[in-house]
Amino acid sequence: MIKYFLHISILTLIILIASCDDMHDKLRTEDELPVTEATRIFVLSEGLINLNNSSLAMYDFSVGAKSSDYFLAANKRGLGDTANDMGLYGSKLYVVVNVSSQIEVLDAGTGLSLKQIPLFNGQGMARQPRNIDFHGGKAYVCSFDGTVAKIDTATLQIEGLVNCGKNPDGICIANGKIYVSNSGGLDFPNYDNTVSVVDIASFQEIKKIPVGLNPYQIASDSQGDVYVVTRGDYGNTTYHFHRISSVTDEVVEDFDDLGLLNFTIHNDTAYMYHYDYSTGRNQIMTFDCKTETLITDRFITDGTTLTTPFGIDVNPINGDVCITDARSYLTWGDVLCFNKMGQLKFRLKEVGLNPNKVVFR
Amino acid sequence: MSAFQVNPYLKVMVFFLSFSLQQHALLAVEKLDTTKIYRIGEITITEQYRKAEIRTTAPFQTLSAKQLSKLNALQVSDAIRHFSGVSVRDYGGIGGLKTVSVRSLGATHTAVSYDGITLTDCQTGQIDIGRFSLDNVEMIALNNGQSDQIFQPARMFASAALLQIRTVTPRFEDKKTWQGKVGIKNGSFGLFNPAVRLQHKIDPVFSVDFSGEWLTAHGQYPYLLDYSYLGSGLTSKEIRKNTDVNNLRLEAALYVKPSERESAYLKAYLYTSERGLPGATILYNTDNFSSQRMGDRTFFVQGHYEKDFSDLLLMQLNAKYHHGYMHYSDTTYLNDKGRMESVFRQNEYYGSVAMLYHASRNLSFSFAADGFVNNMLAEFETPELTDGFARPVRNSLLSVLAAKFVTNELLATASLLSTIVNDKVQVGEAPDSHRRLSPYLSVAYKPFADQDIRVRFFYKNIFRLPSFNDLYYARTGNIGLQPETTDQLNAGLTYALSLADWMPLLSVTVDAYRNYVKDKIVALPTKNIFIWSMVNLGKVQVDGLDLTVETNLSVNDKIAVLLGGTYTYQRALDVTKPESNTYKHQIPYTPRVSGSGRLGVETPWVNVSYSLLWSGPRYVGYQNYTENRLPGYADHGISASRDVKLKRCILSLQVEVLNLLDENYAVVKWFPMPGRTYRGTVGLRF
Repeated sequence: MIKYFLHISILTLIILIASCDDMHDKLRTEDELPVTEATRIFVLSEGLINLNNSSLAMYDFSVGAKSSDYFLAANKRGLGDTANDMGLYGSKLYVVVNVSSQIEVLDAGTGLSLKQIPLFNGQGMARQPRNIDFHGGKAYVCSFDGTVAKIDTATLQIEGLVNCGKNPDGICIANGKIYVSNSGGLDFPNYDNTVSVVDIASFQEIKKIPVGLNPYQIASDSQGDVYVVTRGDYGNTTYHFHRISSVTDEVVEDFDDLGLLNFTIHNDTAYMYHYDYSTGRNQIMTFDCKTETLITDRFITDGTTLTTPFGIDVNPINGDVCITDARSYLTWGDVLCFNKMGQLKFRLKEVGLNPNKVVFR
Repeated sequence: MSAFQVNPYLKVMVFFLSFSLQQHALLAVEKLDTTKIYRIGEITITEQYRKAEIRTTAPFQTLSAKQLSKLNALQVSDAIRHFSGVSVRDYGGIGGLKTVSVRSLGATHTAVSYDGITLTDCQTGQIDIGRFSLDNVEMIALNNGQSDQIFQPARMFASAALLQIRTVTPRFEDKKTWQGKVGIKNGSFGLFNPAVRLQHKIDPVFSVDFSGEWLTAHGQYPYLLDYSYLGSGLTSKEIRKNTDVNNLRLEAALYVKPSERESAYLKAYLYTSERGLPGATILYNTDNFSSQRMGDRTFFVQGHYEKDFSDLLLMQLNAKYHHGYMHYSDTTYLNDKGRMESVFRQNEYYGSVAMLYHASRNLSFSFAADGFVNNMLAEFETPELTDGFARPVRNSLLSVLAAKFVTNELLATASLLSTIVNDKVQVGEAPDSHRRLSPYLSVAYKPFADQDIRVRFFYKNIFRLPSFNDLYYARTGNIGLQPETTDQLNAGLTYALSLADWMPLLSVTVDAYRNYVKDKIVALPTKNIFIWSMVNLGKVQVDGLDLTVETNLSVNDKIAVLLGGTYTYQRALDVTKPESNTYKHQIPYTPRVSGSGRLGVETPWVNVSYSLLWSGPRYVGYQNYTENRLPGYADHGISASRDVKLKRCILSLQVEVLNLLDENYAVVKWFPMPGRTYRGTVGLRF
């Protein structure tokens, strides 16, 4: 009997030793820093909701340094939950953190936080900031609670708030006015369909322009035109592109045959992408904001493919186009940088979870 | 214990006897092979569940009331963390959701039965086991695959794993006609938990049982918040908020035993709960995320009737009506109404008939057919959402044919389950109906006559249906979903022996297995990044090892030591697409290794017990990167208890200290667990 016991014990021991914790961290794909004209690229990744893992990657090409979370490394704390947007104004970087309901202002040179601006109403309810734009020394932030906040970029104080429509999703400035796209996304299926116009001087909403169901990304060109994407109800109505005149504050053109999800404007060229969630197909396009015509629906010319475009930004220094690829939304995504001719210059692999914004310095 | 050192045949007899006294025999009760012994009388040998664990063809783990009392466990979810192969998703605190996944298959593959009839939640497809108190529980058991007991409702065959909760049934000693228990538990974070149980023997045929319990706690425990998702940043001391719970449970049962060949029970159960959902701790904005409320009510009435037509032919009937109500509200939601609100109502009408036929001394067959109807109604904050809800009705017919062969050396079972399910909806399109056949096969073999060693093997193919949420939830539902299918293959070894007088029992079970999950139902953005919907995408392969060891030591006449431990190894890999960047990464929230330990010392003066739960690191995300790593933990608890015999009753006193190291570890990232917790219990049994 003792013999059996021994045998079993030895067998058990062998099995135990063979099955100890052999789970090791896998290494993220690391790549060499490419050569580019920009000195620094910041990539914001929103992470996954309720995981507090928004991150800010920084690539410094001049000294060949990189940091997978520049903010965390400098401040010993994370950006928070679901950072949706980011903008550089002067030497300060403004990060809009939606679920944490904060604007994180940091020094773009050191990464150190200069101020964390909480956005809560009088009852302590989170406003949930979404998008940011700048004009005349002020930052304007639209929030899901239907407000636009004015922040002084010198004092970093909130100077005022104005109400617009439901669940604003985008903000831009043209002709001395702020344009806010009111998505109404949280009121599914009763989406909003307007763009609010806020006069900067009086900081009052002066008009709501009906544009189409569920407006989203909004941007302006140098001609005084404001372009906006409407996403429809994801059923009967689909994605459309519209042009608003900032002179008349009316929709002057609907591009019904142009379906897109997101875009950015640089030197009066709109760089756009579309992604079809049901088929998983994507398309990168460019559009001339002067002639109001599509330049190409196949921007990428060298055969480079990407999975899930999630953000598009242009390097103001050299016109390079950076597209973020969120892949499956559950895994770390890439940034692909193309030159103006649509040829891949470099790819930053596994930058963060759901990278959505690239800023150049 | 000494009875088990006699001859093997007697051992088996006594073993089966120990079970047969459970007249409504809902567990893996081996009645079949023991019909002759069945009527000898009622003897209680509850310690011998462990004997069943080493005899089954598929892994079977049990915790008796006595063992449960030593685990420092309040809820069923606390206790089953001591089972091997189990991972409990615990969102922290008394009110936090707790679901159980067995061998990495996912919580939706674990069925939970309450006194022999499975509980269903068609809405989520999983049962919150945090709601079950251990106060009136006689035993909990976990079957991998299925039980060797083939005489039971078809639904007990229809899941990859089965967690059985069995409540105390009345047993009256001598001439007693009344007996019962009252108790009060008090503890940290405002825990106040009085409970009562009363049992009355009306006459030899009828007895009744009533039990009730109220549990309340503010639940506001302190925790250390780390401001870095990597876990090495600035920290601050915080207090978990919106954690209050207020639960009430009432149960009443009537037991009838008109003759030796007939028995029945009827049971009504009511549970109401009102609680805060503290949510994930959100950096810089935890308060807004701690304002969701949930209220729920569960009511069911279930009946069981069993009749032996002869020694060869037995029948049981089961029926149940179940009503579930759930109200959820979030007043920080930034829509027009300023809140997100939903009310879900579910009903189930269930009926089952099962027959058992002993074809020979060694061979028996069973047939069971279960028919049930489930429906769900919903109301949301706007009429548009309410009117748009599908209001599904699901009709299911499960039938199973099973066979069992038993000799002294061999135990084998086989079954084939047929499932026919069809959903009807009042709004929108209905999904296709499903018809499936699910086979099961298991064998245990005892090679040596004089040694209690067995080798065992089982194979099971089963699936879980998409839940009503998966199919119909506004925006995320997808009626094109197919069932999620699992294949399980298990090979194991069990061994029990008496080494010496001082070690009357040592038992070991080791099982190695491979599981394969295909058509896993996962959420992905299919229309838009904000609109995630459910799709059948994903394959998981699990290679694992479960080990359990248990021993009793008799130090002398007065002092006994009970020792038990489990060890679990799970290599649960995503094998969906070889080209994907998560291929062969361990799936989220699944430790590679985990285990538990317990030690009890019984003395005439005081009983002391120690329990340990530990887990290796896990990954929060789909990629096994350092950034996704959630550290392992160890949770130690100790308790001391003493029974004082008074004139007509027994006074019991217990003090417990949980999470001794006071670590706010997380089972789920950003849901910290309570730190050191104290509990005291005073009880009176009469």
